[in-house]
Amino acid sequence: MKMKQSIAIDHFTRVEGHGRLFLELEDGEAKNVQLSIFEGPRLFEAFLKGRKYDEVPPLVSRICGICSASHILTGLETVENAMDIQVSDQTRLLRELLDIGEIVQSNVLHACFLALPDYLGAPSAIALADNHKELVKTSLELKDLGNNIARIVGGRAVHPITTKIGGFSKIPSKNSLEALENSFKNLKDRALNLVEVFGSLKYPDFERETDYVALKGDKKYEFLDAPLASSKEGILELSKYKEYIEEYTPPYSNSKACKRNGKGFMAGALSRMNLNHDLIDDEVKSLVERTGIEFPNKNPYLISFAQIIEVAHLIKRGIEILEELKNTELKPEKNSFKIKEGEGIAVTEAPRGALLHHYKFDDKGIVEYANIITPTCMNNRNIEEDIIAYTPQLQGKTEEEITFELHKLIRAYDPCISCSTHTLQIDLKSK
Amino acid sequence: MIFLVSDKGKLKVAILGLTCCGGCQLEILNLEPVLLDLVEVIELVNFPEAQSENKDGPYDVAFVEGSVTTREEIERIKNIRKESKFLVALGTCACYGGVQSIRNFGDVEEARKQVYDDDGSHIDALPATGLDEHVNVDYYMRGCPVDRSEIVDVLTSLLIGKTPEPKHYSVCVECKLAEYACLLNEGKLCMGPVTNAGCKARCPAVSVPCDGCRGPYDQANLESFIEILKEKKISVEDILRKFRMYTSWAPQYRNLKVI
Repeated sequence: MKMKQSIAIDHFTRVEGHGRLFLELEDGEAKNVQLSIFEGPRLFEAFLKGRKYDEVPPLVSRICGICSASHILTGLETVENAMDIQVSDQTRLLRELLDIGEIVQSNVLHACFLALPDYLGAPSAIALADNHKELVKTSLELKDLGNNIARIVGGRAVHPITTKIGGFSKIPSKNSLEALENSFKNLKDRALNLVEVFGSLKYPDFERETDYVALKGDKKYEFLDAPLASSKEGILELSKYKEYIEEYTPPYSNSKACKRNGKGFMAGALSRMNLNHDLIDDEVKSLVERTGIEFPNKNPYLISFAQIIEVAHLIKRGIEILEELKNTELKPEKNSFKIKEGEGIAVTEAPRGALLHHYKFDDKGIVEYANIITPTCMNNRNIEEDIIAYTPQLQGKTEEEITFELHKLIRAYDPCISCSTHTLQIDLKSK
Repeated sequence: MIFLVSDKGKLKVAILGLTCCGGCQLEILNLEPVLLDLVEVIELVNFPEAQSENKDGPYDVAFVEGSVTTREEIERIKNIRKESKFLVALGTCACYGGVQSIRNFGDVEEARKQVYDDDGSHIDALPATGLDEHVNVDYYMRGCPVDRSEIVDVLTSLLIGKTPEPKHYSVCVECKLAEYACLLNEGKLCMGPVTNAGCKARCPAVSVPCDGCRGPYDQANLESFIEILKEKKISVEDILRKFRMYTSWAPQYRNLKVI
């Protein structure tokens, strides 16, 4: 007789938003897996129609509180592409700094506060503080640094204000940038030390090869300005994204999911690391080598590790940028441009992976078409495929253990449900 | 008016979310290190975004972010209301419906089809509204996102048994006190004159006109404001769109006509 069991995780915790997992097992094999996002739909792509080009970046920022800067920066780039607007080096550097703030804040929030408790046996980061005070303190300070960058460069931690089409509405003062540089330098050693901490965690022994999709830098580890690439197919031409990314809506979810060549693919820190590990800062690279973990890597649990490597790398990159800004005379800019009819597509690396925006504008700059593909949508199918591949390894475990392990796997992806509808929940029941 | 300091120990607090970007809960997480002090006097009984061990009510205070957009959420907010002594609408989505209520001005069913094509027929999408379309709200914490200092103010008030008091004046008051240049005078469409204060004029502070994310303040003179905008040669379309950004579903703005 076949052993049938169904597992449902009803409400994911330590995940941004509301989601649930339903899984049917037969003799320990996954027969049916449904990652379902039940946060209410927001319908951005519909209500953006009829809005004016300059309202797009602040509106799309509201897709996600955690990665609001990524949505703004991608929105800005899309509008600028559509209207042939060039930005200065000063703007580019300040945008990169703002983006570093967000990646650091979000990666630390996920790796240290949402995922780490799983490895150190605590229900939350608040509980973690009892036994790992220094670690929690460093994580808090790093997260705070990320937020401070957003406050100084963007005018606010969540939903930046200064980021306008063509440049910034206000340039940060020399003093505030100097203060930032000091915080970066104060935190550098401790950030590097986190690579060691995360490199020594006991990650579940699970590997599955998939298609890793991320921006691929040429000289530098890029989040903003590089072509999209796949580990299987190399550079992907942005204008043809509909040909190689298939979006669909699973009948059990409020979130779209994506496939490439009929299968799931991975976006996010591990994909970036798999494609760009040779571009990591040398000092950080030698720390990674000492942990014995190698990239490219097929273990999705290492997403958290990749996030921490990025944090260390970005702290060093941040110091470089701040030193460069110190030696430049920063001045307010007025970028004049002509509103014109056009179409723009842009892709950047949000903390959770590639984020694509696509808009068409009429001659008055009014949106006629909008399409947004978020990293969580890209990852939805890949998570399901991981669960199918992972469950046979969980045979013999109790329901409670299986639930814990699957929850941990889903959490490793750092799904952001606000972005995908934008939520997560797990419910495990035995029939 | 409300006595909340629990004689049985810490104030029982829930932080929950409906449909939104999650940014207001993030502002709570951004409260650290104050958050670590706060947990000395409050007990976070239900905070799924940050912890895996959560309990249902009753709660002394529930902070709920997000707008109500599905039938399931209508039931959820009604249950949360029943379980909470004091309900705080956390952020502009919970207060007014947020940016997603822009869709309420068109055909929501059409919008759903547009976004999810034909395979989204299982998706429940109602007009997006604030919490108070379905339940009574005890305190409106406005802002997109909320200002984290207000979260501490509200909790402190409640802890000492005081009702938190909202501000009854416009962003212009805070803007003038801070001596920022008036953007309306420069001919820009700044919503400061009609918008609830409490943000310390954060946008004008960086030379960006107020987008009105905190909603209309109770004595806002909308008619005169719109007259002034028209005198400044701002087009009717631009004016209407500005009222339809973050708080378009506020009762004062819902049926607003600009001619």
